[in-house]
Amino acid sequence: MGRNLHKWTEAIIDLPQDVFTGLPRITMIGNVQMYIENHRGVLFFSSELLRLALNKGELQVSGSQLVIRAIGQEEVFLEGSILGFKYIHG
Amino acid sequence: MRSNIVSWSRGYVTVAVRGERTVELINDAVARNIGLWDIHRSGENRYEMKVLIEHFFLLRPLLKKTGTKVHVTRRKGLPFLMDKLGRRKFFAAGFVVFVIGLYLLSSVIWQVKIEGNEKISSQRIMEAAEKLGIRPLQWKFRLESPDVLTNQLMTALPGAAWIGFEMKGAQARIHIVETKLPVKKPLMNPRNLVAKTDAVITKMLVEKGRPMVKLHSRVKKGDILVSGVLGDGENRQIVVSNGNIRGLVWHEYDISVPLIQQSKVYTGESKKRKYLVIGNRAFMINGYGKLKYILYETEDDRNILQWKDHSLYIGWMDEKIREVHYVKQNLNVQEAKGIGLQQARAEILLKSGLDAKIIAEKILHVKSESGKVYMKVLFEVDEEITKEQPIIPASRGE
Repeated sequence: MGRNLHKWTEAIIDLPQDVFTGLPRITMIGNVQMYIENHRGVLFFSSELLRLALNKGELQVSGSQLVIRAIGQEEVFLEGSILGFKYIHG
Repeated sequence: MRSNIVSWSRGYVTVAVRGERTVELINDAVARNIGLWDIHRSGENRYEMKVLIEHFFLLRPLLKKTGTKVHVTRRKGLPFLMDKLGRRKFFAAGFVVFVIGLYLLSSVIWQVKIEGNEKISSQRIMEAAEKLGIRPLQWKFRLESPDVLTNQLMTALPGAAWIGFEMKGAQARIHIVETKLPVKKPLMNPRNLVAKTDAVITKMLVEKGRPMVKLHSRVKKGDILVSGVLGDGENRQIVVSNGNIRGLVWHEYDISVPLIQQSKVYTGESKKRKYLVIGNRAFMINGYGKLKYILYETEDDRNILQWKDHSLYIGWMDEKIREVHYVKQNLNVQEAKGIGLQQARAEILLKSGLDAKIIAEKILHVKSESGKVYMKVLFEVDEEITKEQPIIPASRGE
């Protein structure tokens, strides 16, 4: 019921999905910077791999020389040379 | 949070975290609003990250909980700098003293400069300025505003038409424009004008006083030409007589001119010597050697070093030695007469003033005897003949 209401309001006021559903919003600048919003904590971090917990499932970012430039409760700002990312449904 | 000016001013540390549960530590820290940044893995179970000083101490309970160990590798920011300064007390004090000193020294007058004065002496202006506090080593902020100062300077210096005052850095400038006063006439006693010598009046121009002689009249030495006493009896008035009276005066000259004239001639040979002067002694530097000249003249050019008005007693001297020889010249009587007359004319002009005019000259007598020419010449000269004679006021009883 709640979920249907969400969908209904979104359809009515035409807002981006992440605002209501808590889905991650990922912004990338080339392969050097990555900005991930709506994460739920770090699961693993090394120079080659970052695993972030999401509302549902997790996000894996692989690359080299990865550095977390900044981290907050909602967002992570990642820098390095990013090779790719994988979305894993929980 | 990035390493920007805000985090720098609050101070941050780079820490190395060791332990298997470091990721958990990061999550906990984030949950408690502890800002971490520049996190990267530096080895197996080893992470490096940056954290604000104030947040660093909040990490402690989390470290215990997650079983990780932390180690500070670098300290950065203003608080650490201040701490360092605090330890280098003398350096910090020196810096503060320097800044204060610079400020104090620049708020002091170092020099008072006076411009534009010609008649009013700088000393007088300086004294007037000093009374108003304008002097070296005076605080600038203790001075009154320039318009008040210029007003007060104006009253202190009546000879100035306008005074400007301005501060240029550490220099106080007083600019003065002087009033132009008419030339004052010298004070004179009541006087008569009398004749200097016997003469025949050729020109009379009386500005003030009563003329006593007429044009073309003959006057004797001491005769009153212009009287300073005007009127008679009740209306008598004594004035400073003034005028220009010229007359023909006879000058008789006895002239003797030797027929053999000796004159000095430079041969063109010269030598230079340089000396170092110390006190009253001169040490020859170059130009050694015996002089080959029999007759010579030396010319000294002495330069003594000075600092302001004080002689430093050290200097140098250039000496120029020139060989001379005397040339004898035989004159005939005619030439000797010419030379004699020339000398006499020069002498007259010297005695009677430059505006004297020789009207006529007459050779009365010429005689050549024992190598000399003797002659008697009469000159008729038109010259100023007035002389001042003060009027001594008669006593009241007279």
